[in-house]
Amino acid sequence: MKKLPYKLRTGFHRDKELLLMLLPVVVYFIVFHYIPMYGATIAFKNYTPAKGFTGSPWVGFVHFVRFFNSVFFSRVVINTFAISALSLLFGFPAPIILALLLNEVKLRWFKNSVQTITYLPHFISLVVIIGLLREFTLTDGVVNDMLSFFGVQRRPLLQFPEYFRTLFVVSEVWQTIGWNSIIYLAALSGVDPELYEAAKIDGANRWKQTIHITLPSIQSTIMILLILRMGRLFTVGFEKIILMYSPSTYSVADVISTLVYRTGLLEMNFSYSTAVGLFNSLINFLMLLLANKLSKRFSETSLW
Amino acid sequence: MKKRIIGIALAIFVVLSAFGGGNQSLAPSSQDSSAPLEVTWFAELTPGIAQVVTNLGETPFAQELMRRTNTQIEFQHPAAGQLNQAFNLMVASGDLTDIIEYDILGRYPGGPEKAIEDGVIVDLTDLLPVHAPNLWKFYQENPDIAKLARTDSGKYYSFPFIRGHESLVVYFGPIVNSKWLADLGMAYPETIADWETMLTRFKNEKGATAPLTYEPALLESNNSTFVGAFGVNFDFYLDNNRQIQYGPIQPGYRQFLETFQRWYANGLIDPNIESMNREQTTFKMTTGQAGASLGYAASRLGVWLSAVKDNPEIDFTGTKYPVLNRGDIPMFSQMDFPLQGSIGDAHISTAAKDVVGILKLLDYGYSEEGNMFYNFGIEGVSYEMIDGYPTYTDLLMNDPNLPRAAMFGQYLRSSSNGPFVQRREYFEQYGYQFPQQEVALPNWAVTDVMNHKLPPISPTPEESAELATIMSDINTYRDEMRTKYIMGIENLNTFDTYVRNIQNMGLNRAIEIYTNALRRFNAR
Amino acid sequence: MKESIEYKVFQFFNYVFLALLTFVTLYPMWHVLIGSISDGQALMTNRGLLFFPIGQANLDAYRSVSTNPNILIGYQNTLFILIVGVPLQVILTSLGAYVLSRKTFGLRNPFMFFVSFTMFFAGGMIPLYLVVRDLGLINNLMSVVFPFAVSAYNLIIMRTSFLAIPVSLEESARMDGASHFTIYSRIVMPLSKAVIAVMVLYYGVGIWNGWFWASVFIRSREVFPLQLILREILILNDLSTMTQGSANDDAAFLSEGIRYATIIVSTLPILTVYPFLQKYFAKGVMIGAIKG
Repeated sequence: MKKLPYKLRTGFHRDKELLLMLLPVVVYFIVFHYIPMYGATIAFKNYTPAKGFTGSPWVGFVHFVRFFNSVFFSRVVINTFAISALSLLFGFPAPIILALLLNEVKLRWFKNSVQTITYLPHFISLVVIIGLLREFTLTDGVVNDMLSFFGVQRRPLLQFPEYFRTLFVVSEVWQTIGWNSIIYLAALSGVDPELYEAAKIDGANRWKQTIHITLPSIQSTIMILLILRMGRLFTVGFEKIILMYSPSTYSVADVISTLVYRTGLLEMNFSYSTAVGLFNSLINFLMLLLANKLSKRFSETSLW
Repeated sequence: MKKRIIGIALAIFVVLSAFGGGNQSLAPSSQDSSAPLEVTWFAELTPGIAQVVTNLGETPFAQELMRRTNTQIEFQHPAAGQLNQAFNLMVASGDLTDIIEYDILGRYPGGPEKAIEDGVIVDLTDLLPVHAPNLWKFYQENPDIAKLARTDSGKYYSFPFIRGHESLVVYFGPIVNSKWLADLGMAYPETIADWETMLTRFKNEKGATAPLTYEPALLESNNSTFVGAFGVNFDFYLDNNRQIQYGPIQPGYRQFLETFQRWYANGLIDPNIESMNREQTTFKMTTGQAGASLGYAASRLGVWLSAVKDNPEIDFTGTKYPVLNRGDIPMFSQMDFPLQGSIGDAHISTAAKDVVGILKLLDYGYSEEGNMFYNFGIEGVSYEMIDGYPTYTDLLMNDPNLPRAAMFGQYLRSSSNGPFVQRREYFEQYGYQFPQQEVALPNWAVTDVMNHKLPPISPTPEESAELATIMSDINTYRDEMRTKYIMGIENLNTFDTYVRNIQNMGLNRAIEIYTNALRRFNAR
Repeated sequence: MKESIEYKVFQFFNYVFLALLTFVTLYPMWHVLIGSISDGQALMTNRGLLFFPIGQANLDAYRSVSTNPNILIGYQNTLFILIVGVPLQVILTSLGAYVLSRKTFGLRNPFMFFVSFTMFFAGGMIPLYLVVRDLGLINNLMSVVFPFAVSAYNLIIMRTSFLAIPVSLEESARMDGASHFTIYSRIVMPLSKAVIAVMVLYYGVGIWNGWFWASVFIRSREVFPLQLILREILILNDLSTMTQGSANDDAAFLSEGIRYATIIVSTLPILTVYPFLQKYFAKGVMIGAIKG
């Protein structure tokens, strides 16, 4: 060891107070994040509560092999990806578009009301939203009322696999569009008005101004959020799925994390459940690295 | 000063934890022999009383039980509908209550033997004869029930819920709107074809929007209404040669699916069937949107009858389980063994410190006095002895505000389940509120199910771990496909693939395990 | 400067579209509100669009809800974790954010990595459960607070906002011999009202609306937060805790209204908080997020 990057003795002495202030946070992360990461090694054991963490025998990759060979393996992986990709595809641009549209509104009161109202769903709990969704999609519910007005046959929509993802994504957009647009609106309000003036003098119409001034001004915000979102491509809001799905929609709705939930908490298969969860974590991590690398190459924006 | 901050932080942690807790009972300082025994007790909150109390401990029943047995009981109840998850989590946490009231026999992955091996519950084999004289005496007098109460290797493990009279083992079946039948000049339906005609006429002539409606869980559970007509059920059963079969891969199951798919497509089954629950079923039945359903004698039929007692257009009764050919005896129906694994079975967990004291507490339910108490409550308050017959008082039977279920649940446990022997006098008063209920029960009792139902067999711990793995996949897949077939989402020409998939998931191994377990059971 | 015809057409459709969006957003809430005061029985047979109360408008459903012990307990418990949890979360997060925003702190980068890593890799459900169990927090309301005391994401937002505070302020305080804790509590925090408001909102909404972990960690009904009670009623569809014992035979017919009234009672408080914090909000979010 030739040279320590951080001079332990003097460094600790100088930063003593800061380290002390950081201590509770560090303890928190160790206890509730790093210890569970270590605890995830039960994925390689046959864990039973009676034998405990140390007493349970090692079994190697048995649980992973079982998962890879399971009839549900390809299905949950595909569903996870599909649901996540769809909500990215629609859920990600929606708030940007809303922000751009709101940016064009001249009436202040109108703009403010639309903003405030579209924020509201963010504060409503998933339990309530899905509770309402379930009710509205019954054959005599509001949604069917409207569809039947257009001649569509009444059906219990949430029970049909073909509508599940649509309902998932639509309700997601409904809930998040306003809230997620805040960031973009904030960025837009920071654009120097003189830029627009200059563009007008050059004869650029509103559309061109949007392309050349507005969008570039929020580009870095978009990229950062996109990377973060890409990193979670294999994470699906499973709390929402648990509230939404039923046996008839498992084929399109069952994702990795709901499988973790069912096997772990409903069937007491602790080690298997942890193995599946670990697999998911690993994929997520790889996705994030990939997204970051791509972003670095194409836009010179990166997380680190 | 900095140490103090950490100290304060720790103190805050501890204090907050103390405040945020469930029942934080203070430990007694001395273990005086006359001090009440402190016991924690996991149990589902008796259905129907949740509006009145949030904890069984607040009820007169529990208060009196504690007084009589000199105990201090802290009940822990899971959320409604979350019993299994709450139990699993409790086991995972290793933080067990002293008494666990749960269907270990039917629902613990691996059954009682595994639960003992996993260190969840205590093996009672050697303890019962010594410390639970009342239950032990009952077993001596009823060897057939005792046989159901132990495992293959002869272990006793529970204080079971026992149905003490043959009239108590049947309580569920098909219910139809008998007024409509009379209006249409129809007889009670017997065959599947009768049912189809009836439902079609309900739809066309009575304007029913959901002629047949039911809670999906009630169709699936052991009861196997409708599917039984085709000679199969939703699970394992014994065929006519006493061989174990799995219903959902049989040709009869396909016929059942074809029938239900047709009914669903023709609007004979509630279009929202997968989202049905008790309130909505009740609502649809009592307002004439639906004309047929499945249900329990008291909590469905009884409730519905009392809701329509002033409505001349609607009346209900229970009909026989449907069969394929007129004159057949239904092969499956709800009929319980006197003891078959109930969420009312009480077990002593390994966390219990004073096992002997708890044995005494639980054994009380099987004594003369305890039996009266669990079935009828407190003499002079909830019941009176009239000519030697325990008669419920007006307090329970005619409360102006609360339904019977809510009143019964506060004073006794015979209206649901628990560690005691249920008596027929309870049902004679609670179950037969209306004459229609007295008609229903004999209809529902016509069955051959006792020759086809699997007895409470118990695979060995090793077998059951394997079985749990296999069946978790198969059951998930079965439920999914059943719903999809019925709703017409999946075409029935994929049925062969479906059967093959189930077989590939290890079904034959599961059948083998069950067959071995059955052999051991028969040898008991 | 004249606007082109195309732009005017665009403007028109823009207004129409945004108005429609507003309607679609508002309608479900309106539906619930109207449903909660409608006649319960009429409601069960008429599930369609609701603009005005059907049947005789009444407050029966609210009467049922207000006397229900389950709702009251849920409310109490949720308020308790809110009052205890949010300050704890904000203090811990800001402490971490303060230290990690000090440019003089030598171990800044390793610790940043230590924190950020948890955003992307997690041990999983069961291992976390086991930790909470070993801490003795099972069936304790704090089990939905402590494991979520600091969110790495929020910490980073706060740190970014702290970084934007002019260094000169801190330096002059240092000259006067102020300790880090003094700078943190006397200078940085008072200057960060906006981002603190954002944190209060983020954490508060999380606690108010959280149900999943509560369903995992909490066993006794006495410690159920509000959302678990709501889930029984809305998702598990078990209204038995609500309708039985209502003072009339029509209890089953009240149920639909009760469902709605419960939603209102549990959602309104959190909806009304936002307008108060709104003025800090746009600012707070911007500071935090843009620089990532």
